[in-house]
Amino acid sequence: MLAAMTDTTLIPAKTSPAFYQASGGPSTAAAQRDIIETFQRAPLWLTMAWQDIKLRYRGSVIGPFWLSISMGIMIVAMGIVYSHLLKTEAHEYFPFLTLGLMQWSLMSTLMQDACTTFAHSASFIKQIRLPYTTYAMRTLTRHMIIYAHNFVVYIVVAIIFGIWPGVYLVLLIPSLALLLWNALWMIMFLGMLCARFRDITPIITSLVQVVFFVTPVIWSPSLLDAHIWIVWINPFYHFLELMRAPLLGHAPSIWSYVYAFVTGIIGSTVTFMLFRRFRARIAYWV
Amino acid sequence: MSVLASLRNVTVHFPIYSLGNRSLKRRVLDITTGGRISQGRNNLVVIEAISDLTLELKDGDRVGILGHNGAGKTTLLRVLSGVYEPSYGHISVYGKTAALFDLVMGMEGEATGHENIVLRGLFNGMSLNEIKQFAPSIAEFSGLGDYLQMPLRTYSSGMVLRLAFSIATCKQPEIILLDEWISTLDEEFIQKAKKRLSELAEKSKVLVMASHQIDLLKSLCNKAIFMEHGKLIAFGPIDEILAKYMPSKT
Repeated sequence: MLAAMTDTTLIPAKTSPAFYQASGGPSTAAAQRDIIETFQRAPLWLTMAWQDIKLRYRGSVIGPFWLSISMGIMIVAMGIVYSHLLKTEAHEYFPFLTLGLMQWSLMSTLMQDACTTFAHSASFIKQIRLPYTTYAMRTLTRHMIIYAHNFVVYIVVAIIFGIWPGVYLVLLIPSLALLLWNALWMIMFLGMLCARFRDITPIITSLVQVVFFVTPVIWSPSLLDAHIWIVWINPFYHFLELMRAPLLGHAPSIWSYVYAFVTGIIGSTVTFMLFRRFRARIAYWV
Repeated sequence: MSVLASLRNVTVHFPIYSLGNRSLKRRVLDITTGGRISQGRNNLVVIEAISDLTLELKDGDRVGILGHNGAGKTTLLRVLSGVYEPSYGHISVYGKTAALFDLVMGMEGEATGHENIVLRGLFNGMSLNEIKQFAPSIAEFSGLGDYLQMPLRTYSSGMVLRLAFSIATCKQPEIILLDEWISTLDEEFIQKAKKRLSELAEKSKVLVMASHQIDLLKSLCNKAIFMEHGKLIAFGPIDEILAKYMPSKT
């Protein structure tokens, strides 16, 4: 490659391949390269995410399963109280609650960590050139590892209450794909926004707490009767339903798929526009 | 002679965000109070760390960056490594670059030496296969022996740096960027490290380093850049630049 280069004073930027090049201002090509390079270097963020988990549970014998245990305790406690409060049968309510809390804990912690994705990676960003999407994938992978550990709780509950979703498990594939896709753009979006405006992080944290009460995590949406639209406009409900319904053994509404798909299209388009415009500025923000 | 790196009219602006600029609330209030938004924008302090810098580095260039503190030496190295992209202007780099800035970055105290070789190797852009291939030579050069089985937190800072240095320098790059000579190594290792760095520098196509140690620069570099307030004042043979701009130090 170097031999092909000539002795001209300035090499035209577009004709000869460079290991690295950058110009001031927005660049679609650089943004695309960032994403592609991230996936080519998957072992990097997979290792980083795994190290995050290991670091958090160092010295602990059962490691991340502490999370599963605490979730299990919460489910037992809440399940007993709320199945009475909501006058639901325990065998119906416990699996519903388990999946709701599992899913909610994934979505809420992901939202909060998304905000600090770039801000907390400042020491890396200022020292080494890595594709920025790497940091988002690290956050996403970390949360999916925790989710996988929590999944054990569902398996236990499913065995106790004799739930076997059967063929509906296949529906988890599109659900998971939609979830990961939307999670990725959201991490990138919030990561950039919070790196630039530092007071968004506490706003998101409080928002997430409020959303918990209006999202059918611990109560069934059918209780709303005519006011079901409250749930329908809530994006958290749709992602919750996409993951919960197949595991309970029935299909989510087709509209939840449509909702998640449309959200994905709009969200990733807006995020990509922002990313191509501000990618090069992230290093200056953090 | 082929060009390894070319910078055209590169300008780097550092925005200095005060709390007000960072706050969304302020932004919103600015809009609602009308007219103040432009004032708010103008209040953003911008530091021009590098201004309108044009430079071309060719095969065989060993360049020392000279200048006072805050002249933009470190920023220029960060631009060459790709950490900071120029606010204006264009940069192209045509060679594998090793930026030896913060060698310890990304190393994990809880992980063993071997695990850190993998981790840091991935950061440096090596593939898992490459790391496997280079791991024995990294382990050998570090001279840490059985310590590599232990978590990094049990190491002394000198040992951590040894390992970091061994990983960072295991592959021959085409362009080497050095921010100050790595001087915090222990006595025993420093001779070994110096030897390897000189070897790498010799085989590399371009070396760019910033240092206050003039003797060191003179021994390693054949060219020099003199910078002042983010501007490139002169670029040429090191002796000439030193004689012209830093006569007190020659």
